[in-house]
Amino acid sequence: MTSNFWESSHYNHWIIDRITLGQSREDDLRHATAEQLAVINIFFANMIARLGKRLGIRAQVVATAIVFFKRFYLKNNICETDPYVVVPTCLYVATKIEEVPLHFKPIATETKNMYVQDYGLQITMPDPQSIAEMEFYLLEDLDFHLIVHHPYRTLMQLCGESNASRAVGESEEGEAGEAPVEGMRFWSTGKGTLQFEEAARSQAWSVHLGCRCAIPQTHAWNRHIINDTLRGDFCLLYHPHLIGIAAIFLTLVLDGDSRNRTDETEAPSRGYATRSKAPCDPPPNPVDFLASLNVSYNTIAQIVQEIISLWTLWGRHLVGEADTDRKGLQTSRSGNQGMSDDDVIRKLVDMHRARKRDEQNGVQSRLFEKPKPPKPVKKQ
Amino acid sequence: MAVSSTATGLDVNPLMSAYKRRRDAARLGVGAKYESQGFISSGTYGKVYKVLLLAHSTAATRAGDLRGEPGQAYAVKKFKPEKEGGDGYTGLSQSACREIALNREIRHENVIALREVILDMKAVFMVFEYAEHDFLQVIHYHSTNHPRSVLPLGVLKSLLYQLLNGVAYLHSNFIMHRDLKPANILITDKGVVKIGDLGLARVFHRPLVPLLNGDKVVVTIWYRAPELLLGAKHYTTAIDMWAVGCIFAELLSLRPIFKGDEAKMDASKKLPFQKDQMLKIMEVLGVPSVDEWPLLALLPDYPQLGAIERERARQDPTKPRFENNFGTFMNRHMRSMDSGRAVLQALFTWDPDRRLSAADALYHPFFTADAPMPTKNAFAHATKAYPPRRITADEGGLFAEPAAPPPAPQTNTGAATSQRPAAPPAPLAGQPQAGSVLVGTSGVGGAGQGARMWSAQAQAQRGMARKRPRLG
Ligand SMILES: Nc1ncnc2c1ncn2[C@@H]1O[C@H](COP(=O)(O)OP(=O)(O)OP(=O)(O)O)[C@@H](O)[C@H]1O
Repeated sequence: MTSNFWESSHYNHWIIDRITLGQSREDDLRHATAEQLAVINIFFANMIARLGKRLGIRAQVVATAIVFFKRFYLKNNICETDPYVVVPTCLYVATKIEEVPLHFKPIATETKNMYVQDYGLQITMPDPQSIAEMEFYLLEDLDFHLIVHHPYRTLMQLCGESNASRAVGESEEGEAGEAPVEGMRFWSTGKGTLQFEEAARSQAWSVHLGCRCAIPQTHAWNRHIINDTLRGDFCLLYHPHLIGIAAIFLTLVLDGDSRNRTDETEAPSRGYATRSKAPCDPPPNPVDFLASLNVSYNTIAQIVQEIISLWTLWGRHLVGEADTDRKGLQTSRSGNQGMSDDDVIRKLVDMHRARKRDEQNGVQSRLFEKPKPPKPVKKQ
Repeated sequence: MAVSSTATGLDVNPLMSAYKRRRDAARLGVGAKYESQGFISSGTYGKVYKVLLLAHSTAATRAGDLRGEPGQAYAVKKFKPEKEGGDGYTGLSQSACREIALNREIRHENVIALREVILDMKAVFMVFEYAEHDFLQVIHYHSTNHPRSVLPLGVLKSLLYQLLNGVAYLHSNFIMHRDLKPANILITDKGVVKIGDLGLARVFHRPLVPLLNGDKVVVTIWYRAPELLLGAKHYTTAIDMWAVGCIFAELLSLRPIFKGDEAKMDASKKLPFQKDQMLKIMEVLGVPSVDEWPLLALLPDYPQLGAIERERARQDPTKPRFENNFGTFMNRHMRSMDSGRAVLQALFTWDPDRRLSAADALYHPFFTADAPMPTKNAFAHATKAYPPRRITADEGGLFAEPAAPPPAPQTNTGAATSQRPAAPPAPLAGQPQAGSVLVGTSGVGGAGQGARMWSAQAQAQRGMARKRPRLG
């Protein structure tokens, strides 16, 4: 990643508008509702994260893989391709780009294990060769634009240098961070950074959503906001630093919110409990924080709104919890209308069948009629 | 059909065969877009060919590609397929991935531009703008032309300034080149310097693993900075600046200033201490001290310095000490270049933290105040025209299917030597012979082997081989 986002392929070619995004999904939307498609997207992002976890891969690598996956499906239809091959291939390429290379053989093995053990999939498993072959096609469909900018870095910059190394090591499941590394000193002046103290900082990435949203509290909803955004379309629509700022803003808002609710909340999040003892500056006021940054309030508000919508949508469904959680949820929420992993898997089969029928009836898929690169939008 | 499915039962998934068919049908191979002019050179990772753009392919193919002119010259780098038995897909090497990823992001006058990437016949082709000359060739030309002549100061200064300009750009974008050497620094026929070969380059602002873990050894040995030689685990852009210093010196004296013999990897596969290289540096610059380089004593191989000194004292009791002979070098080659001396000295600062940076070097009076000033066309002050790049017959190599693999460089036949007739015998005479080792990063090696021996072949001519992780 080069330092200058404004000259990057990410900015110049891969930030698109909603209309373009909608067009890229027209074919899939013939066979699934918008909500189902959104759930399918969450399902696959979770799947990549889970595969990453199995392989011991860090959050940033997983994030890159998820972005690859989403970009691939700007140019392709889920109903016409095999996402079960695309998933490991995205991760394979991401490990090379993020300098933690893995051979495709162990990736293929782990993918198979995951498909069988975690998803009970009965498909022809992608063998190593098919991943290696798929790499070629994936690279092409990505236009060889392989360097992806993530919101993590914005967090690092805004939250100061010492926090930076922590954030870079921040992983999907909050595993231990990395030691600070040489080279950090090349950026982040430390000027104008947010002074989160230790506890609030750890909370900055994970929020006790139960306090905020109409989401069942029976489940542990502590999540990393930024990782959560990867389940939606944020990385295709918004500049990474805006997503990062929205995540911080949301944290501040929710933090304040949970503080007001101390008395009501039975089990405050761990972060909160520590922070009430810490003799520190109060966290920055969200409004002051936003005002201090030269960004569009409307865009931030919109991203925040969409993150909350994503949570709400996610909360309606049962996709992608860790195995045990999933089972727990399924029993506790039986009778719910939402889709489980199994439902998604079945839905995918239906979509492929439906597309096949269409094809036999001579219905062309639109994406392939006019294979044009996504139109980038510049202004934000 | 370019990327064809093999008969190995890959395409069990009819969905994907339809997808692939569509993509394959839409793809144009290298041969459909370019006409081969012949073979340029064989590098560590692939072969480079000169091609001309066919008139119907001037438009950009995908987002981020560059337009071209009909008949415009390009250099196509064809990556060796990483063989793994059979003729299946083996995955793109990390070196190729890096080079593609970085080249797709950067654009600077002094960095070679990538026009497009083509996947064809299970191989990767990177299409770069064509550069007629390179630093090594210019050095070679001056050292072998009789009478031997030095580079005109205006040419030297312009080449160096443009090189620094490109390096400053890379560094400001958090990219370390890590393999700067005369052969990798190209010059167009318009006299514009173009840094090439980003195959080892790396983004350094967010390393997920300490830099050392990725590539055990970086930088061709003669250009390798002392902190690397002494085993530093974390290093900075300063390693590139040391290499720039070596290149500056080589432009002056027309031979590598620190021409050490590479220590071979022993059976234990532990990285050997590059004693001779360190010795060659100490013979010119003397012995580094903790005063000049506070962190020196913390480097893993620091004790080796004492060993080198003791050995010297034993062998030559008349001159038991390493002296700083750099003044002699400068008196010989930089007689009328007072500010130039300061630049070179600052580049050879032992302590990487105090070594001159590219950005600062650009503002040095050597470039900004003292005549002659650097010129945009580095050849503006040239007294003679440098000869064009030697191109040899292609023999179908560029468009050949991998089924007929290029002569595998597993054995040292010496055949490759003839592939680069323009290679400079003189300044490289007595340089280390074949046998340089390329070792896969174990566990991720594309070949699934821990180590892999290659003959040095072309490297023996173009510089030395070095390790890069080979993985699939
Ligand atoms: N754009 C170009 N125009 C002309 N010649 C080029 C160009 N790029 C590379 N070459 C020639 O091909 C040689 C090998 O290219 P390059 O260094 O990119 O390959 P490599 O496989 O990484 O080799 P190396 O072992 O030197 O690192 C160069 O030294 C140069 O002579």
